[in-house]
Amino acid sequence: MKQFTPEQLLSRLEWRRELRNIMGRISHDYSVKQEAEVYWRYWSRREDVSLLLNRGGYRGADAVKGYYAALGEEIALSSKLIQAKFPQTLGGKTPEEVYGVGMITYLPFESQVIEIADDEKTAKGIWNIRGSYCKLTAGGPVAYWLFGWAAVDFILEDGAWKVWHMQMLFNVDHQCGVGFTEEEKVFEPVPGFEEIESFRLPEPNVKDRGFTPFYPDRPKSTSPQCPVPYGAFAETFSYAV
Amino acid sequence: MEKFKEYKREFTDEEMILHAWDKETIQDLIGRFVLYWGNGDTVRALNELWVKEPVHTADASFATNIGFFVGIEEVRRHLVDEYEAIERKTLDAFRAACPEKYADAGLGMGMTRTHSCTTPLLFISVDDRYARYLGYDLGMTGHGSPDGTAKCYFEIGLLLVELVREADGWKIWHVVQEHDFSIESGTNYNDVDTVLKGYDPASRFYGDPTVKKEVYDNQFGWEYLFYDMPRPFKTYDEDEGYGPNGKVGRKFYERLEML
Amino acid sequence: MRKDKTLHERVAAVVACQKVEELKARHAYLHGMDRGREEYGTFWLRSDNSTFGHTFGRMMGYRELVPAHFDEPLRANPFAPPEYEPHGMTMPEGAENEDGGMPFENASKRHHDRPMKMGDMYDMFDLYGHNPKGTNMQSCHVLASSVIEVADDGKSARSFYLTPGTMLSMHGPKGGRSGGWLWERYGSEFVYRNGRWWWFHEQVCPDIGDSYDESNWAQDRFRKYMDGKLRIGDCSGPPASGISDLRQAHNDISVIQTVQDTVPAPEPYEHLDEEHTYSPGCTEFENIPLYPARKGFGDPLY
Repeated sequence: MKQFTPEQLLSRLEWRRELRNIMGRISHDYSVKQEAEVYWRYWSRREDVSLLLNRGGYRGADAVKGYYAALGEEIALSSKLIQAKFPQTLGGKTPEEVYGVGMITYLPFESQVIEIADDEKTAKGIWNIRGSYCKLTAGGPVAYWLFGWAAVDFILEDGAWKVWHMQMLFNVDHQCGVGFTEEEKVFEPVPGFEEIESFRLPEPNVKDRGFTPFYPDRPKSTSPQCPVPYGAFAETFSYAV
Repeated sequence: MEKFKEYKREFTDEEMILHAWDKETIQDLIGRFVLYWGNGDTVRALNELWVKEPVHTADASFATNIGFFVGIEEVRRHLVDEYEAIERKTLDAFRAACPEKYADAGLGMGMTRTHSCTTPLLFISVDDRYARYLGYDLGMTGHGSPDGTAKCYFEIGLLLVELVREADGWKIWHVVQEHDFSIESGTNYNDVDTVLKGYDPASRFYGDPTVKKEVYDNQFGWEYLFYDMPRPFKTYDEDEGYGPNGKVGRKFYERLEML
Repeated sequence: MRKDKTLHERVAAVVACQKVEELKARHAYLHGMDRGREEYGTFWLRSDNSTFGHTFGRMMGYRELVPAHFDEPLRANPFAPPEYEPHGMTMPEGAENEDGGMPFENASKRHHDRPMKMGDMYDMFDLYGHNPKGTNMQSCHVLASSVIEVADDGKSARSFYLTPGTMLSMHGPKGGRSGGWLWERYGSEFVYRNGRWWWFHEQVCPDIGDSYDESNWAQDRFRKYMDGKLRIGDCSGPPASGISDLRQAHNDISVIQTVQDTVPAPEPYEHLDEEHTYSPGCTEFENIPLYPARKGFGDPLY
């Protein structure tokens, strides 16, 4: 393993905090329903970015951008329907003011392992996630548990670290109040919320990758690989899809 | 220029950088351990992250609530063999129920677990050779059955870790896993009779320790954590450490600091 | 952010980040053990500008936050029912609340129809070998998603954290143990004075909480709101009389509540001021008097 001078280590200490701050900021943005901004705030503008979720992969800038934009559209639609449901309290608000009403997403990132390349051009990190979120359904807001990982390749661009490839995979993504492998409940439909059922996130453009949450006879499944010390990105594995 | 100070040490800039780097390295090391552990990659964890030097492997330890596994081979027996035995038993049950369907199934089928090390509290000894770490493990386990159901739990508890600097860097030496709660997903924990029947689903993971003793009674909560949590310290002292002859698991009448 | 920092200043900033992590963790465990003295009495700045904000408002100054330091009773215990008699240096919550444990919507009125270990202890059964001072709780406001920024002048640091926290207890509302959870956002500020780092401001933002794991928090809250059984702020404690400043109240999630970014993640900043604080009006920390430490309650660690 390469030996670093104290001054080099100091830069790496500062970068580690920057990388953790990026993940913390993403977490914050989800909690205040600003998911739609995540691409613009933290991702590289490169064409070869990618995002892997349980449902598949989004490869390329347009696909990743489109995914985050769709999260924003879902929030906007949910907000519009909730606003219409509660005209007395929300009726006077603009779409901007009511955006994200009644929703929250907790994506706590912790237990990190971070490796910065010897050549100081890229970095890799993996975080544990144990979260919860709610979303609007035809039966009203419904909450879900999350257990999983965020695994990220970062790239240094003009002195700032940017997300290059991200995997956000969940071993559990299941309704709260129901056993993790049991059938989810269907809640009584609420007039006015039907429209949300027609909303669809964009289909992944990489369909043969993803992750299947735990089920009773699932074959052994593990987290994304843990970063190991590396010299240059070409010498290590990638979280790209 | 003002020197950096911490506990009984003064640091030059360069010394402070190395000290800060050690803290980050240790956080990564524990992060790696909980990830490997959750993935069932415990052979790799032991080979890469645990002590290698005989002076340390002899009393390397891993404690569950009911005792200490002492010596690196005993730690291996617990982390690798005992868990593999549970995986094999699970697989055998599936094969017995549906031999054809599960003929090619491998170990680990029908099981899952995750561990974490949130809330790190960490101090390195004044002599720079040892470190103590406390983290909170918010994990989960899942265990499938051939009838198509699974028991899944939120698994919650503390991790006390003692590390030592060996020739090739920081290594895990002693771990105490103080398991607090197993809460079955989809059930109301407040309705569970947690006391009368000695309810403790996690006990299936406690294993058969080398030294059987009550390390942590989770029915009584963090009754000794204040005394066991890491603080600045000068050097390793077996009596004060997290190993099999250390303070974790002692009752108040065995603790000088409480008498 | 200043680009011309000396190496020493850069090292100091790294050390400050690690110090923030350490203080946050010490707080998390000490609070989980109900050891208010060991945190508020040791690493909080004893000033009139030290503040603690929560759903109930903002406690202003060390005297209001830690009245026991001045041999005064707690002026208000925002988490306890009105008949609760304040007893401590900080606000007991969770297990101490006889009205059902935690301020969760699904907490039920306590009735002991089963034995519990804590009951054994208080009745002096099965006590042998157990520590009556340290028992009680296994709650932990665990720490995740940190964002930490140190001021360019090196004299303050600001942090944002999320907690996917637990509110577990040895004695539940129905006997046995209780399993609850409480997830919050934290905005914290720390200052460097007299050669060490001190906790200066805390803003706690509880968002969601419930009991494990029979209910669906979003659906339950929605249905209760529709039935008129739940209003904004009901779950996490409303503004409390006795608290000096109610301006910063943060409410737990409600279906009709728009997003509250009460504690935005800190951005790089020059120095703690009104533009960069979680506690407006209280940013001065250098030229203000400090209350003397009480004997035995200095921070023994530094």
